[in-house]
Amino acid sequence: MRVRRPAPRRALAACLPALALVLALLPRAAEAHPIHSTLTEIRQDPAARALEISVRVFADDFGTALRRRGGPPRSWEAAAFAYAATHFTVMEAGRSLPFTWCGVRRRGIVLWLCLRTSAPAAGARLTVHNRMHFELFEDQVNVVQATLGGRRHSELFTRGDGLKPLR
Amino acid sequence: MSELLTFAHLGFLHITDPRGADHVLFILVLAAIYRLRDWRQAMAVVTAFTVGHSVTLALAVTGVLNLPTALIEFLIPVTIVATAAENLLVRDRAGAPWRGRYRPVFAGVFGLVHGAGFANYLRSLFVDGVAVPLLGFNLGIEAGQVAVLAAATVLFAGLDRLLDGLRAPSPFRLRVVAVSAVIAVVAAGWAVERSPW
Repeated sequence: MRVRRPAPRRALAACLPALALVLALLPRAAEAHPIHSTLTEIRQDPAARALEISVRVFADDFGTALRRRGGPPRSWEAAAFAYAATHFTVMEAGRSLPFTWCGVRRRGIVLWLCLRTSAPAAGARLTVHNRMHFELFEDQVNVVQATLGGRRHSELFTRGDGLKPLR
Repeated sequence: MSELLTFAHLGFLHITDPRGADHVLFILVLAAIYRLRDWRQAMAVVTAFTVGHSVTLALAVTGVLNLPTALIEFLIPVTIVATAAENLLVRDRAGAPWRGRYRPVFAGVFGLVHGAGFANYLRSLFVDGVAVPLLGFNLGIEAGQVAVLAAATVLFAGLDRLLDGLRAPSPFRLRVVAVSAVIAVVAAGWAVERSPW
């Protein structure tokens, strides 16, 4: 004997709140799926006894970060350096290494920011942190790659991460 | 952390980010017609999707392929609407062409479109030494998709039980229709907003 089921109206009515919740949770705007990311390369320059740091950032994100930061009027490069130097940190034995600015160049939609600092002592333990654009995007992910002493290290930073050792 | 793991982590975060709902929605609409016992078919279509987007991602990052971003961003929701429409139109999968086994093929073809979606961004960052980052990123994306698929399977099983408890006629078909219709409406809205014309 077949069980008689009621009309689908009741089931559909029960589904409506669940479907409304799904719709409410989905992004309303036609958001494409951009990658909010930066990529930093740290390399030793033995000739100059320095670490050269190249930070690749999306130009639109970086421009937004500089505009939001505001501060005293200064040249674009000075503002870019101030932002980079305060959001990117390399520490040696608990001491933050000071940076100098070595310029910027543009390749398509990406800016390459160049920072330099003195080379750490041989065998020194370095820690690094990249907080760039965390104030802009919750899904910001910053990748830091270092080639030190012939070995390659990679670290990934998301919001809430602290300093990480370059091992 | 190794370079491979770092970029796998990046791929995983990218695909599971709820703010980038387009890829997640595509996985959901692909999975909407499967039950827990159909997990092999579900895995096959998701893996075909990964293969598809891995191909375009590799071609685009290495500069072989250069696709206009605006067109790709428009086509991504179109693939979601097309998959939802197929879910709605094909009631009898056993009676469908090739007994419905064409789904991995179109998941792969649509994957080509989705891969091009983030290729333009990655190409800008990976200027040198793309092989390991690309492999890691794709592995992370596949892992993220399997995680989304697992969550969707649990969600759909719960929905099936709810509908069955409500004595809905054909609860499974009702689930397929409800999920596909909602996703189709959302994706159609995105397609209209992203239209390059």
